[in-house]
Amino acid sequence: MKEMSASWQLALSSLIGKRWRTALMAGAVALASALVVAVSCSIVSVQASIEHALMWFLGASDARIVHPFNGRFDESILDTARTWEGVAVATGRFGLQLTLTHPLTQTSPPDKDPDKDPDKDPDELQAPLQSTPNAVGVEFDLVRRFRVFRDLEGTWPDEANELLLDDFTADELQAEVGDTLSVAIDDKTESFIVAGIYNSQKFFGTRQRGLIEMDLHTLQRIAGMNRKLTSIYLILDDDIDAQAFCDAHYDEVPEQVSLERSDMVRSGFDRQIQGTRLGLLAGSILTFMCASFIIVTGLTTSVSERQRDLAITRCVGGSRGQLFASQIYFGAILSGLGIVIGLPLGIALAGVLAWYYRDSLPAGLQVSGLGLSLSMLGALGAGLLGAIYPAYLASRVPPLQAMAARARPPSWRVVMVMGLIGLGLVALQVGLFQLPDPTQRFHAYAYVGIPALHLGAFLLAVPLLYLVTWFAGPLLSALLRIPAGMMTRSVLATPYRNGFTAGALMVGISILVSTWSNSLSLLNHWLSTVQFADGIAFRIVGITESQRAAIESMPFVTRSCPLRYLPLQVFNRQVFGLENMGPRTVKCFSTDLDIFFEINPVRWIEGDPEIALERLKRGEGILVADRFTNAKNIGVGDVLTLGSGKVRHDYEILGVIDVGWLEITAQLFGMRSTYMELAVSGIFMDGDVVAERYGNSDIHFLQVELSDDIDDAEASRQIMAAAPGILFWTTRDVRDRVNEIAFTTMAIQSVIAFAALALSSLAMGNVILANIRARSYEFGVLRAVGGMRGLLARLIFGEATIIALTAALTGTLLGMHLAWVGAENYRELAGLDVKLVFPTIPALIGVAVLLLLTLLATLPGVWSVVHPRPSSLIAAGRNG
Amino acid sequence: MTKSYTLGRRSIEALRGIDLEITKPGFHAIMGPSGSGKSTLLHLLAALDRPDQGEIEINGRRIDRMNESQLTMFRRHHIGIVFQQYNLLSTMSALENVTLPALLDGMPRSQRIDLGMNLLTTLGLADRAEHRPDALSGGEQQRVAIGRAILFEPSILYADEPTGNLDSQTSEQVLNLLATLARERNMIIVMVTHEPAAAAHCQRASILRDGRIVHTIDVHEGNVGELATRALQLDR
Repeated sequence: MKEMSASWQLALSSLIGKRWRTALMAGAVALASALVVAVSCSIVSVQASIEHALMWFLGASDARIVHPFNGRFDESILDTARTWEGVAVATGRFGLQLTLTHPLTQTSPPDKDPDKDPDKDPDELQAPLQSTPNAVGVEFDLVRRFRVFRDLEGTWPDEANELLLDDFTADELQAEVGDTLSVAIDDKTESFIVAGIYNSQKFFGTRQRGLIEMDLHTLQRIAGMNRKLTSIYLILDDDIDAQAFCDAHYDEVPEQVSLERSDMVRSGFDRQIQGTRLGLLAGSILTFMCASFIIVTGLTTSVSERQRDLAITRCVGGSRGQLFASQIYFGAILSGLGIVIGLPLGIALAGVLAWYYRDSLPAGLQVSGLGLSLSMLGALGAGLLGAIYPAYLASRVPPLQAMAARARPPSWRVVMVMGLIGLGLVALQVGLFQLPDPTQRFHAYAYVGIPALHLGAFLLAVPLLYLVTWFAGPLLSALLRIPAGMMTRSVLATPYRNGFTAGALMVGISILVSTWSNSLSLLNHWLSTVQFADGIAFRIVGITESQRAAIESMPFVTRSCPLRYLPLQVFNRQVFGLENMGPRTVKCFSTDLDIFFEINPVRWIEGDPEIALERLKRGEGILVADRFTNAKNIGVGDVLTLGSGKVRHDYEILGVIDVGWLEITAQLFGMRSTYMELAVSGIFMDGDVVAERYGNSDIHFLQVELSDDIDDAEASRQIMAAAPGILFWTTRDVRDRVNEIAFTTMAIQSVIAFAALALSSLAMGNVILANIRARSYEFGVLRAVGGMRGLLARLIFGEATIIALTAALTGTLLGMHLAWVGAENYRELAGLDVKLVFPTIPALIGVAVLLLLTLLATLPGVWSVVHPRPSSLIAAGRNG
Repeated sequence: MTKSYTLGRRSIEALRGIDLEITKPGFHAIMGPSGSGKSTLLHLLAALDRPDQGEIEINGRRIDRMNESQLTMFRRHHIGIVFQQYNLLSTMSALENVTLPALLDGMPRSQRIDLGMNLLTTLGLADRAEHRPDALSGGEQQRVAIGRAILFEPSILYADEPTGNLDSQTSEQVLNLLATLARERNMIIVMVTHEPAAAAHCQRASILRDGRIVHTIDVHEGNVGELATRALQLDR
């Protein structure tokens, strides 16, 4: 206990004695903690808001009857459900996509004043405003028992021609309570009055379209589907168990619909949350490893700088254990400071984001228990792990060191051992990647492999420093007019300190290189797949016959092909992702196969097209996308059990084809399963077979081939005008959207990478400064024997450049290795066969920024050695 | 006692058979030219290093047979060391530097402060207790270092060129302080020096050359000149 107290006091003494250094290192841990807390709280807040909005939509219902294949069923099921014992309230809903038009008879809003924007077409500015929200037909007298409509402006609708708009749609249409809106469906137009506008439950990621509520029977009539429903919601009596109720009435609903607990809608969402948690955990480990690198470098420098102090302590009776413990306590204090500052800072950051996006986050700021725990454990781990090596070094300082003028020369053997351990850790990561079980492989790779890889790269930075110094040193010396050999010897006099500094600086570059490489690979992959007929029309609830006819009758439409979309569950195996975490839903596209293959450049990878097409038409099998083969080697001859609810069928795979464009287009249109899950990858069946087996013959997509004499934009405008309620994208639109999403993602990733670069440079600036100060004696002697100030400045800049170049080399190598690992994961988990790309321009920008930040970090150090007199430098060096 | 070490690829025989016995308290000087082995001898006597051959017995205890932790405890309680460079911890105040051995020994803070303040008062540094080394003069720093060395009242104190960085007036004060400590506290003080004037404060001086003791002189007012002559001859 007495020994511990002494170590604690020694730690406090060096901590208080070097306040500025302590502040910067604590700052590094605090920022890492804050980052983890902010990210986790933001994720939890977004999830809570999605959940909040989801629960709002489900309302107070305990059970629901849905058509899992996005189809419709007869309203008689609602009549039956109302007779079931235990049902307190039952209501039906009918969903449709409607195009609403606001004639805008009032004056144009100020920002649309033609005088202020002379380039705009006055006719366009006067055009009525249109919006295509999702419309839900509800029983107004019952719906309020299920859901609470927030901040309702106006009145509750009670007439068949009245609407309730959400604020999103109201904004789009610039509509107010009392305004009249027209609805065009097929060749009819009907007018509706806006009775009320409510505050919608908007949330990130899941909905960009408005939502309106109207009378159930009116909507059924408009759609020409009287007595058809898309879902039924039930509130059960208080004493009824929802699961037992669903089990009891399971057989009383037709085969193609499901009776299930309402919270089943969350199942896909819950799997996503599970995946997010794993990602957060892996990200946290990495973040704190980086903080740990900064601490280990900072403390190692501190130990080197304080050799004499440590030796004196040994001389006057300090034990090795006391010195070891003092460094560990130092690390623990840094962790404590990191936690105390980082946790509130992280919550505050998340709070600011939640406030800024308050309209999109109805659940507000949520504090993540997992994030707080990870942050605290991570900070503690970073501090303690970062202190172990310096503590070992401190405990090995011999008392005689107090009399020694200079440090001992580095040992080649240690450098070699360090390099070998580094390579061993990289090999361990590669070895873990060869584990046979995919789930074990993923976890071992994420929690052991990636940290081992980073630690390996950190250690390899020391031998790489030698390489860079040997190759770049002479050239740099010549450029900076430094006497031959002076800089090389100077850098290699303290290879661990300089190598570790480079190791801590490498992280930003590795993030930049790996994320850009992966993103560019993906982008190239997607763009290369987006090759299809000229355009595609889409309607989430199905394109009507009249809409289809309107499109096909356009003079510039030469050919068309209808496509049906159906999310299906795979029951007999996990085809993508990890067991129990990857999505179980696949996209089933069904079509008129002859036309489809005629107008699309489909590449057959496996199977005989002629035999396959014949058997497809007889419903004997399916085609699958090549992602199935890439990921789990599923191919021709394998059998998949597909369906949902009670409906399940076995299908033999008859062929493997490459139709990535259809998958990505469906993804861009935001098609989801009824379980809040994005379906991955596609399978193909005959349209008639799907209609017969799954009870849904809606056409969701209509591929269109355009004549050469029409402009894409003009074609889009005319098609959407002729068939209100549909969306139309040309090939170029899809490619633009893919580009937009990819570059937005890459921009966000770059911000993270540059933040990591800035953070590590900030922390390492302090280490570089300490390094320069520790060599005051040496610089003083150089000045005393006639070295000019400029020479010292150039020497320091040259050394910093070597360190930055080593960081760039290590970071680039690590980044490309991570990119390779990422590409392997894309293939393994998502079946994407992407080709590795080296991101030349981002990497060059990253290296330039790294060089700049490192050189800026040396400026205070340069000033501290060129400003004082040589005698002051020598005295400062002698006194430590 | 012998001791050799390697410098690069060369093997240096620093001590080639030293036989030194100090039985009475007093002020003892070890003199010699550069490279004669006087600092190596001091390191061995101060339990900072181990001899290759031979025995070192202090207060009846064989320190050459002690393990690392026994040596550490021995240094803490039985040996005091004063360095030419003062070697105070720059992050600690004068009081904290003086009481460092007590801190390492786990002495309660209040007791530590009392002990340290008494010592600083004795050394005439009470008003400098809270100052860090960079705010103290060379003489003050060396007095703080002496205070740290005698905190536990060791029976033996080693001083390695303690006046090497001081002006003559301050050197005189520090040497008088050491002589007083030897006399009043009944301590053995062994000082490595190459200055005859410093050695003149001692009762005895051993002169080293090439790793061997070549002369041992009892110093008194009458033979300071002889001491100076021998030291000068050795330096030539």
